[in-house]
Amino acid sequence: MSEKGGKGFSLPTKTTPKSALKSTPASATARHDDNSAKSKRGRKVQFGMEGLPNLGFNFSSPKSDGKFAIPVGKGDWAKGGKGEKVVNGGKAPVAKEAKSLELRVEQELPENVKCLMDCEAANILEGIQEQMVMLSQDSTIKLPESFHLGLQYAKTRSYYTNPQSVRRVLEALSKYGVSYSEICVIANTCPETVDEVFALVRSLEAKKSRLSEPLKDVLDELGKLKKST
Amino acid sequence: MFLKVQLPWNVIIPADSLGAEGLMLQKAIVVRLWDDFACKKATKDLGYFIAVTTLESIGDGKVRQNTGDVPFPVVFSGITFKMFRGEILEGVVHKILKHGVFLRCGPVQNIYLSHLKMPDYHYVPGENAIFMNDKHSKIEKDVVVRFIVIGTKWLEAEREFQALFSLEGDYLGPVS
Repeated sequence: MSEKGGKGFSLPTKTTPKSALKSTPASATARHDDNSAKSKRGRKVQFGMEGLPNLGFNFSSPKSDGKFAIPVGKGDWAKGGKGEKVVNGGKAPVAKEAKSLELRVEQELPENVKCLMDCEAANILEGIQEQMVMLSQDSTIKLPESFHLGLQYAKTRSYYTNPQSVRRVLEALSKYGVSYSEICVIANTCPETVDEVFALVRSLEAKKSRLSEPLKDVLDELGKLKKST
Repeated sequence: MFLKVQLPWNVIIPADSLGAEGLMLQKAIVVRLWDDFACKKATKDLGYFIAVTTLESIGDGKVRQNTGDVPFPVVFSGITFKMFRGEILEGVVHKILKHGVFLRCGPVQNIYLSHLKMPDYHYVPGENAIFMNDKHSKIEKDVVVRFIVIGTKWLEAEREFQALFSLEGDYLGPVS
């Protein structure tokens, strides 16, 4: 351990034992490891949980180990819901973990960009495909590969017969503060119960008391609009 | 999720495609737009380009001196696909490895779901390796899995997104 200090560079104070071990080889490579560990950490922060440094965890080191430890606890709590001690102990990181995975689509989108439900997208893409078939003898239009994959995906996720009716039904939720992206996620996941909606669209948890009743009505309406499989 | 975008774009029409009639010009522009979409594949802000839906407006073109082709500033509407953190998506498993599985989700072909993010599922080796949990729920090839997106990263060089998914949460996992 003291050898590392003697190599003429300082290790970052937040170094966990694991990364300290990484720095054990020769000085040149140790500096490399430190940099690569640092940049790896930097990369992980960028790639993974952006929200994590802001959450004021004890394990605020953005290492993957710290990161993974929390969700496992959360998963157990969410599924079991038993054991008060677990609930209380896990509550703060669990609530913050749930918050960090909330949809923030509207903030991330540039202007002139709107969310589409998968059933709406499927309709539009099928229409384009039909037009392409008609034009194919004459046209030199080359459909990108992503078009076919996107169309296939939209069709499999399209559970409703009439996207306009679905949108009308779900728009009733917007007066309760549900954003359009949240509405799209609800339509895309085709939930059957109110609990499923709150489990999947975590950003709605805060409005649970207000939303439960109207959501139940909306889901009943949506049930009538489902495609028969 | 799918996004409807409205974008300004510069479409370059080679001189030989310029016809006297307006309709031929529109067709040439649409053809070039689709070509550009296919080449560009994706952007960081908008995700993967899927389709051009309508051509909203075509501006005045200015002939380039040296080459003779004409760039037209256009505004068009299109559809793109982008994954967002916190979103619920479904993917199809196409490869099972010891430490995780590879999924396809729409235009994104290689998404990795680590075993660390599949709580209660353990690897069952064999000719057709699978992941299974205590309730005998299987994650195997061609199974549709519902997951939550934890994070995404744009890779400029490859012009594609990488994403981290998780099955931690209620109502996530294989769907029938």
